[in-house]
Amino acid sequence: MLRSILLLMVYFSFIGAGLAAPFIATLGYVWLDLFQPQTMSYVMFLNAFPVAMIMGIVAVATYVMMDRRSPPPLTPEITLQILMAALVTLTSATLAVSPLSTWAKWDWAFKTLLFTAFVPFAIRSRVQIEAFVQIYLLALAANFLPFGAKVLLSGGGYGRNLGLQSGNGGLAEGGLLSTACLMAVPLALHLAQHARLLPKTKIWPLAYWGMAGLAVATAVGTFERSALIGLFVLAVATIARSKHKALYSGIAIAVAIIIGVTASATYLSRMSTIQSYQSESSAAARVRIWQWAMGFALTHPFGGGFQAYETSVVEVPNTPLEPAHVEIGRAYHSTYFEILSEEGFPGAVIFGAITLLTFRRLGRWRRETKGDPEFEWVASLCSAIEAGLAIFLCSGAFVSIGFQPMFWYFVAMSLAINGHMYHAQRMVAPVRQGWRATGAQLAAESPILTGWRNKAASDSKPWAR
Amino acid sequence: MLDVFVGIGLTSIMILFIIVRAIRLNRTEPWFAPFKPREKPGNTAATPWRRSQ
Repeated sequence: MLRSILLLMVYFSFIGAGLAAPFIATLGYVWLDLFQPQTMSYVMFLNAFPVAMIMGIVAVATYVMMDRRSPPPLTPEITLQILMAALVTLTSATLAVSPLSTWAKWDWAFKTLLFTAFVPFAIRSRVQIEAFVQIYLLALAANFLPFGAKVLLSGGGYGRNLGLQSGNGGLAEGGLLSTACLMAVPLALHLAQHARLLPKTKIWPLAYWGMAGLAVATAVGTFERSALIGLFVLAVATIARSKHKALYSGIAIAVAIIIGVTASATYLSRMSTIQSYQSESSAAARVRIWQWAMGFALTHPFGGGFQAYETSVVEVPNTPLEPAHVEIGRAYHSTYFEILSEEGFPGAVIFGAITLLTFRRLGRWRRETKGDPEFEWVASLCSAIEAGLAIFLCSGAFVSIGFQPMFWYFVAMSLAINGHMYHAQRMVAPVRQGWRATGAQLAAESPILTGWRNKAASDSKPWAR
Repeated sequence: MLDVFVGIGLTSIMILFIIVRAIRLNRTEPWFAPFKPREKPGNTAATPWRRSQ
């Protein structure tokens, strides 16, 4: 009952504050999408009404009616996301090989694609971007804080559900949970240095470091092999971009030693199957389903719609632990093969293009803002998002999470930064047209300026007027 | 207990705190600080008179 009251209080806080400040409703949708309080509340309202739809409507409606100032530039990523939303609808409607179950996945994947394309419109300023990162992290932290604490106290286990959600879907699934946790670690480390929404005390950086530690403990506690790969990428990305390389290298080595010493024999033997995948039936079945997905994509170049894997039939070879057998409807266990077989080559090209454009954009802003004290937070956040995406792309090769919201929220964050910097640049150089542009250019390029021309050229602070 | 007090309780309180602070700062702080991208080394296109110096 206590949890339901708390969740209801947070939900109505988002709705009420969203009516006054529209970006809060967008944050509310992010909280609902990641935390999913509907699945853990005993109060009628949260699990009886379409609370996410209500929040989504409030977010979009309040933005359109009250808050359309300073929209972001239309970027190729937003266009490609909308194209992807259209593509998944088309494949679900016309090409689905599992027509009964395809619409269940389309229902949440379509909303994810459209809402994350909307996020950069509502999230524009530094305060809003930081609030977005904070809510994203806290929505995930609700799951991984207790999970990580339980892992530290009593150990984890493959398939053991120690989080808030039950079942084998969403964040209750180990592969998604571990990847989402590791993606959140760079964000927590960014907030430890650059958070402004919290009072400046020494406690908060420690709290974010604690969160990052529990996220890592959660990832390890799921016993997912993809988490070990994600941990390696996290260590490399954090050390590569850090000013304190020796400190982070020391932390990475310490974490590796702690895992090596304290991990159970079950964990170590499971991780060792990464190298000897032929001897383990689960790993051997993955290779077979990837081969099947590749063949399926070649025979269905425009995709087979969501849940196409349900039609798969793969022969798993003989292993020391299990005899040869046939598996029907084996999941992809790979984001790339998921997208390739469900949305075909057009979907794979769109996904690849969004990924490349996002990395390019983040790299550009990281380089341009590096060393500028006013925009140090942008460089830090760009690095954190790049690290998170790198973890997703590496761990995601072994988990089918292509349409889960994490990747798309990271793309939305990069676009929110881009929109912010677009306006920040125009604060310095207001756009002039016609004779004003010619005059301003002449004044700026002239080596000797006196009188009113000097005043006009030095007037480079329009925001101060 | 961990689920309710740490998972839901602690994060809910922090979320409420973030909401209040975000609304307050969103109203009082300027949205955009002016930013001028750094010139690439050797690029004199923006300052042509320097070429002759």
